[in-house]
Amino acid sequence: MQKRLAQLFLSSLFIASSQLVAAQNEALGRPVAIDKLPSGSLYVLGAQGVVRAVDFLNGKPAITGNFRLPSGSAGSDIVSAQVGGQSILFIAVNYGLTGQVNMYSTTGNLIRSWTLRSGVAGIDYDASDSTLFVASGRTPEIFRITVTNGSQPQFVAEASGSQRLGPILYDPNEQALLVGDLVMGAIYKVDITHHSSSLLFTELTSPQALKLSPDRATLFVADAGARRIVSYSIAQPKAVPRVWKLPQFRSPSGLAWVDEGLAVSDDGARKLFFLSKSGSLEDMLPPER
Amino acid sequence: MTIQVPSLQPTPTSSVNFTVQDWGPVTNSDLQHLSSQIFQSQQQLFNLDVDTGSFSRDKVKRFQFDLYVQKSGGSGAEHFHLYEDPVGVFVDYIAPIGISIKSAGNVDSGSLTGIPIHAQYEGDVFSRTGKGDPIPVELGISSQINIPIVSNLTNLQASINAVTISSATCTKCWQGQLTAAYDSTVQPGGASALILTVEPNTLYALYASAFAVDPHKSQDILTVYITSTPGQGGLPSLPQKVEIPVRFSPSFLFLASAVILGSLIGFGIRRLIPATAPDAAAPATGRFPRWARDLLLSIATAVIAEIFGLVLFNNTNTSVVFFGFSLDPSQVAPAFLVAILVAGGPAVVSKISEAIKI
Repeated sequence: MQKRLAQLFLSSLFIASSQLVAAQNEALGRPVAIDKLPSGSLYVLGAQGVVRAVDFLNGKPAITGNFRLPSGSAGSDIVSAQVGGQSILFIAVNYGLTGQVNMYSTTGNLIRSWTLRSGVAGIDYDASDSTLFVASGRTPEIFRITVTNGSQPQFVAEASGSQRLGPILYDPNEQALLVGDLVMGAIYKVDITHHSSSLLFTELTSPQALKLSPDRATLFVADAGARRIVSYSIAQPKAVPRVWKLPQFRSPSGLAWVDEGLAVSDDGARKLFFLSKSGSLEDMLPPER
Repeated sequence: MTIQVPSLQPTPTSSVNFTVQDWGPVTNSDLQHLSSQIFQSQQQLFNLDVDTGSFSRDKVKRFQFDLYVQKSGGSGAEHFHLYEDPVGVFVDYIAPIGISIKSAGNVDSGSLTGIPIHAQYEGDVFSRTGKGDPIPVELGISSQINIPIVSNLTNLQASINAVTISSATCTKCWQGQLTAAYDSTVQPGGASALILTVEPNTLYALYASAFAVDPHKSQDILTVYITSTPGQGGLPSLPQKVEIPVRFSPSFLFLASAVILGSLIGFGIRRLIPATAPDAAAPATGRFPRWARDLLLSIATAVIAEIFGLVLFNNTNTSVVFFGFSLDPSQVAPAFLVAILVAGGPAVVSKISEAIKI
């Protein structure tokens, strides 16, 4: 009897561990954006419209779930948030020339949708005001969507001189928006109150993702063209930026905080890199062969 | 290793810049899985391997593709990722792009052919061929209008995604849904056609045509919107507007009714106008009373005038002038007016002329 129990236990352990290895080796596709709530999974948006949940199992990152967006949609950006006590994913996609911001449950049920005729390049969510900020795909415009009252996108401001907007980030300390320009390699600061914009950081190549440090003192930028992560001091924008560069980087596309480290999605390498606070590589998904 | 790709200028008012990202070295085994199109640099120092399987869009819909540059005789390659940043309006096309390569003191250049150049704002993908004259649409029946079009994409296929039709000036002139049949794929520079199925709403169409008697002017304009997607990674175009002017053609029954009614009215008006002395003195002869002969004569004259007008109009496609009025005899209202004027004779014409001071 004891022998049979031991056999059963060992076979269950074998099946569980083989499933874990399979989850860790599962292909990510081309991850174009990532986001994570402090308490939730890390969500990865693929270029072909697949959303994957990544969690740490036995200390190793593994894909634990996924859902597919409607066919024909190209993923652009993803933001996870708590809305009315429920975990929500806001996903920006483009259908041809038209953009959509869709509100999904974490299991992939579509809750609401907003259409933007000039496409969507990036989104961010201000939880304190239940407001989504949207960077337009083909114009230098920035829109606001109040999630709770069912309003349509409203024009907020224009990033004057921008050639092609990319990621957008709301800075609650400054009550301003930071918006990347993919072609000019610059970050604009957009004053929401005065509807004005100014160049904040230049000398980037192609900023694909923006993230503030948990203390909101540092801005991290995924600079795809130079295959690096650049961090700027918000308080001292003229200070020399810090650069994290891994040989495995191809085209960093998304940033998210995972515990105290930084997760970086890479569109070109088709991987997730998990960096420590100091910028050293701690793990990756799928693991190196 | 570094590469540079100069800008293209598809039209004097548009340009395409290329953003190049170096994604680092790859091994020979990585190159085996590509859909390769291989070129050699001019001095044959490098092999240029375009992965046509990588033709795609990035997250902000920029067209992108991968290029692998390999030293001739060397192992592995450097992986470059190229983005197109188009400015202005033009139609997509396939073009060669120049490239200059620098590596360890070696400088060489080359050309990559067969690269799709995609606009952010697509120009007109289709042009309407043939004359822009108003197209006749017969009243009272459902009919089909053939609109010949030709693709402006000289070396790319075009896929028609959707065609919608609406009336520009008289939505009530049509009943049912205006629909179009079309080939979903049009070959590069190829001819195709939109076949519109339309059914006029007779009463509204007659009313609309009553005041548009000039045979060269349309009585309504059908606005056709074509949404299409150029091949090899093109973006769906904004709906392209094609305007189709139409004129409503009444059936024989409508025209005959208009002529008979018009001649009756013309005859009636003539009877009401006081007769001049010679007319009043003319003796009544024959089997029929004089008024009956006059009535038959009026109707016959109006019918002959209408037939004559139709023959002239159909053969010369010019307006027909009746008593100084330029009219299209194939329309109900002009046919009605012609019948009044002819049946009424000079007395009615002069009265009308006096009234409207022609």
